[in-house]
Amino acid sequence: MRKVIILATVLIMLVPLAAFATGATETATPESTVIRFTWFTDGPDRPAIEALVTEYMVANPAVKVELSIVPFAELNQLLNTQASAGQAPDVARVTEPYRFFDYALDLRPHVSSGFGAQFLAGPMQLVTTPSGALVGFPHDLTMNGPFINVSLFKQAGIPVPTGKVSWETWFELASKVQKATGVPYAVAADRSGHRLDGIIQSFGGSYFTPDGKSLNLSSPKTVEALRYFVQLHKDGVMPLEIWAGGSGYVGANQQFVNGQLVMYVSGNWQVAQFASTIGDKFEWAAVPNGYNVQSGGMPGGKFVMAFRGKTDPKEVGKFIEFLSSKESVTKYASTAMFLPARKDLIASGIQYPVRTDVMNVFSAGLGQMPATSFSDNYHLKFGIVANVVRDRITQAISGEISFEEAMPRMQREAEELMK
Amino acid sequence: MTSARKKPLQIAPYVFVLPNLIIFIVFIVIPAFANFYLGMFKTSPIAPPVFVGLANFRYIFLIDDLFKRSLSNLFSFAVFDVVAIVVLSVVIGVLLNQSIRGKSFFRSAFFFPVLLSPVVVALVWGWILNSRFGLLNATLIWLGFKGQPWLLQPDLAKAWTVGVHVWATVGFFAIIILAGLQSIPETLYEAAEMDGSTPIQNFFYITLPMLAPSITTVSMLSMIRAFEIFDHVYILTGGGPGTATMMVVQYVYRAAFELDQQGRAAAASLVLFVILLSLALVQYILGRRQESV
Repeated sequence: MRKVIILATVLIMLVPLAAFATGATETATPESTVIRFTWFTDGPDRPAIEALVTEYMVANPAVKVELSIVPFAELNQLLNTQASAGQAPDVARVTEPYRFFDYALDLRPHVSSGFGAQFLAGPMQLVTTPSGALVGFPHDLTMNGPFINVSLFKQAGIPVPTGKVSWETWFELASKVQKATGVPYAVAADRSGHRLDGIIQSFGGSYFTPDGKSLNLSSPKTVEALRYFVQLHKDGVMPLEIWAGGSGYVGANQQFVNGQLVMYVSGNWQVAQFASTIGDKFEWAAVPNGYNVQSGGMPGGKFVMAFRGKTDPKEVGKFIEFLSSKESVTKYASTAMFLPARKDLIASGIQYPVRTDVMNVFSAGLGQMPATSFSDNYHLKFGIVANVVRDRITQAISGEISFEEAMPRMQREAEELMK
Repeated sequence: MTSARKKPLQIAPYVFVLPNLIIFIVFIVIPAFANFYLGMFKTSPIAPPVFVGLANFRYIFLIDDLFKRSLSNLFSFAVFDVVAIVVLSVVIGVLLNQSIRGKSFFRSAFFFPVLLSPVVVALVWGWILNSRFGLLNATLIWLGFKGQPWLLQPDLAKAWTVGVHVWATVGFFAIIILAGLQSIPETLYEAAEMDGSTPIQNFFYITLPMLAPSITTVSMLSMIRAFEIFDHVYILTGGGPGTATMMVVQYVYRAAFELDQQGRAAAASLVLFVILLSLALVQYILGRRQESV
């Protein structure tokens, strides 16, 4: 009896472990094709993608699309774990497709010929494997750019400039507005190597050489832009608390929304949030990126990619074609307030529910970005090199080390990552 | 008959500890060995891991200034943190041991921060120390002084990381000292009083020597906690300004999740593991010595 009790106790204690090990399993309905679709949400895109999934299932009654919404913070780890266990979803929204190339489905035999040509070439590179397989498409684009508090410009009696305006001119004007109105902040930029590269681009610099084979951090134009960025903090034009006061990404949304910031260098993903939170409190607008030797700015975006699995690849291809169609992208981008990656929609523009004027500034900027903006952003090592640049420049901004000391350390650390 | 009955009794204790042992092996022992193994690979999300031997260790010790900086930050944090905790816990313990009015209130008040989550502590202090809108600068300006960039100037930020951590944890250590004080026999003080000793002599010749085991415990525990520091500092300063308060755990996090260098992160965490293991062994040896005395 005692043995039985001991055995039962041990088994009861091990049951939770067994549950962890097996995990939840899905059972497919035998008569229908099930497409497992994993999605991470930025917020406003959720109703948009849910509506598209519903529309697809109504049009294709024999197909069931199982949409799983997962937190972005867990996305890569989840997909890695699922894919390595042979349990990857059929389709997923991702930010870095290259992480999953080993598990990706080559869509070429399953989609119409010429698929991919309707999208911008830069982002398409990221869903094309080194062997030429096409594994997805760029679903939506983002674009860096500055916002200004127009009400503060009016209050200061300073007209908002138009045309090609250099960063120096923008920042000088923002400082004047700040002094005239007494708000605490003149200019702030997201603490992000991606946003910083947007400014570097307008100086003619970049993180990588255009062929992507080596770093371009020590080129005179990149160094000039980085030095300028550090000096903006030393001069008090940019506040220390955004770049020196934190780690990882730090934004200045609150300062801008509260009307305390004259100019905020961020990107179009802020538009929906600003439209709802600022409301009528003050007038705001997006303006083109600063123009020094060329226009600045950086693209970004999300991708939809297909994974190899047990589901009929033809059905996966059909679903991908539906999501990438002009109609679907128009519905999705207008609801979620994103920029489309389809060339035809970039040319024609999209009618958004609010602030189409602001979105059009970003749309127009897409076509003015230098080629190195795309080659930098779609470089496989961009994310990690951008983090190194961000952290080393922060050391110079905070005064921990000088700019001259920071640059070789940045170069050395980035070179190590390039190996 | 008797030996047949004894057999299951010998197995039973092992069976009862088995679930815990399995969890310990699966989640502690195996990952520790796997960590050492991973430390010998160069990893990348776009290529298979490459065996590099001790190159990751060579890189963090000989080339990477940030690892050296995080180690130096950690050691200086630990030294100031432990000294402040030991001194303050003795002072607070002695004060709380006095027969004063509201003794229970003061004991609760000093212990209260220990109950708070490190995240809450760091966020609240972050607001207090905010250079533009913080309570401390507002008070200073109201009194006619100039506000300071408390968390934006490297030396000030370093000092505040220690200060906030000490504030949050000293209550716990003061309770250990208080328990030690209450176990000192009253007769020792009575005998000393009869010999004409002053309160200061009592403190240095009776209290402190009798408190030695408690102080040793406080020193070791606070040192282990200091070397494990992450949450308080990460939320308060984010390791900044720059890397002025970056500790080894944050270095590991950055290497693994911001630079995709899991091998390098594993090597760095192994160094931290060795430091913590050494401290735990010292604590164990000192504890055994005290038991034998």
